[in-house]
Amino acid sequence: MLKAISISSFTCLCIACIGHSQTVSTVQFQYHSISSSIQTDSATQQWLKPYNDSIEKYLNTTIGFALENVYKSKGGGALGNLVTQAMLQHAQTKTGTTIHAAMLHPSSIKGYLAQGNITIGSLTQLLPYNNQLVIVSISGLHLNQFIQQMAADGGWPISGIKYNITPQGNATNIYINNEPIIPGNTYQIVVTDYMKNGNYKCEILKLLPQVSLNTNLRESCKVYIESFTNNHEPLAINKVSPINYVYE
Amino acid sequence: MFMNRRDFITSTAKAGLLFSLPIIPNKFLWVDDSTITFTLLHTNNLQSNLFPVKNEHDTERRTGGIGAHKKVIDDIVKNNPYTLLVDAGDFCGDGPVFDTFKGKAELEALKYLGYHAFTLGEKDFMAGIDHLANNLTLTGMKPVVSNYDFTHTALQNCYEPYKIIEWPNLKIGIMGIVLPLHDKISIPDKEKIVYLDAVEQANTTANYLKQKNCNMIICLSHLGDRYSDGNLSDEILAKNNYDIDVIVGGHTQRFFKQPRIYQNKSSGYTIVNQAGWGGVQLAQLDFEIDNKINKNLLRTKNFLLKEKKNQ
Repeated sequence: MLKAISISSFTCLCIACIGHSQTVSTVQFQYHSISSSIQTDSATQQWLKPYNDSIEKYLNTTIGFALENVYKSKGGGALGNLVTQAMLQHAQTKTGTTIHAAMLHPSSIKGYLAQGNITIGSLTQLLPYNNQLVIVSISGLHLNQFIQQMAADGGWPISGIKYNITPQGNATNIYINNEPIIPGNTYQIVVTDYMKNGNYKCEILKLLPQVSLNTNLRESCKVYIESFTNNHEPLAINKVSPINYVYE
Repeated sequence: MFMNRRDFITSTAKAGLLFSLPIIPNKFLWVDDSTITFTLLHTNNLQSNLFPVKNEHDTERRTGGIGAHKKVIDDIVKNNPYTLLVDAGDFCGDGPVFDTFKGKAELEALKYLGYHAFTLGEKDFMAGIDHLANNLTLTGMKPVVSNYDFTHTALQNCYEPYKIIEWPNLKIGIMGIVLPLHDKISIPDKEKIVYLDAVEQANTTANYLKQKNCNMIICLSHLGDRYSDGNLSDEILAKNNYDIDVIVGGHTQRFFKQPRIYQNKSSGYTIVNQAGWGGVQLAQLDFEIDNKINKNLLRTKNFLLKEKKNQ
């Protein structure tokens, strides 16, 4: 059954006032809503079956075990720590160089990681976007500005950096790998390409030099979780926040 | 490196050999002796949704999916073989389908559904240039891309700068315009793909298709319909082209209430339309093309839009 979206009842004319010998063509338009209630024929069902089977098998693949629920909270929480730690570790391994910090916009993480088996499916629900990871070279001066921006927004998930947020939303006592940030130094940070492209108001990253890691956020977490499984360990959960909210 | 005119003509001439000549029963040929009804079906941003997706406003409901999509298309084609099915890019998207198949299943789905032509969006590059090229080769699918030079990449022989689809008494020219990709993708060797000015290439290609006596010229665009900051868009292309009749849009994932019509540079008009995302909608435009008086839609100065009633 074809189901057309009801649009306007009137006929819309687009008549240019150019006069004389011009021609007019009639165009009828319709927007079909593709409802899943529309009956699928058996041939198409057969065509889809191997794809469906492969995807189900893939999504049900167990990659690790969580001893408890892992939640995202203000400043990232245990889940923000986990994801940014995975980004940092994956970036270090892929590049073989020192990566100083990882940071992520909170909206990249959806829901929470449930206690029990961790499957590709549950990880996909947690990190639904195929954001690629990139290494950005950033000066201490710009890094400080970026952290101030994150602090003003309440603090984003972060690893490798610790700082305080004042009630006014200012970042203070900023340490990177336990050292104060030096404005003239260059630091390597790992972020998503979505952030690097200036989204989430990350304009400061837009013009900085970058190296693509050719891997995405979800893959970095999969590898991180599997590293515990391969050592026959449950997933380590770090609940200590790298951000300290100062209440005056 | 930019293609010179000879290269362009040579490559486009090769692509032009790909004609489709369906056998059409007489009863479908014309509404009357002089009019052909040509149906353009289009989608955009299918984003790997082989299976129904959750409804945006009602998560209990699911829409889209190859099964329902196929049924709707087949019913339309059955009633009018003068039907063209096209997509405006981003057939790939985030999620388990892409993670599992990396774009190959998505291309096989386009083939299964009978798409005549499609272009690329930024998400179609997610698995990398070489992987995309490999998938295109394995599936035998070729996107239409008119404003990129892929000469120094694995995509070199995997696309066509234009395509012509022919029926008896009807010849449709198709081009593909892809948005500037370099700040939207993070993949190895992206600097080897060369962006060519979209409006300039669109006009050059459309003019070429006009010289090939196409009755109608369709641009598959992944620019996005329009932007408040004035970025390059379908609206800008529509206002600055000479010969394009219809821009089938994508990228911005807009559900149009009706097609938009813009006056173009040749005092004619260009239609812009888009069909949401995820395959939850299929847009249909029916053109009545006068076979005797106004055979060539390129000479059409105005369009009269009418909402099509339920079948």
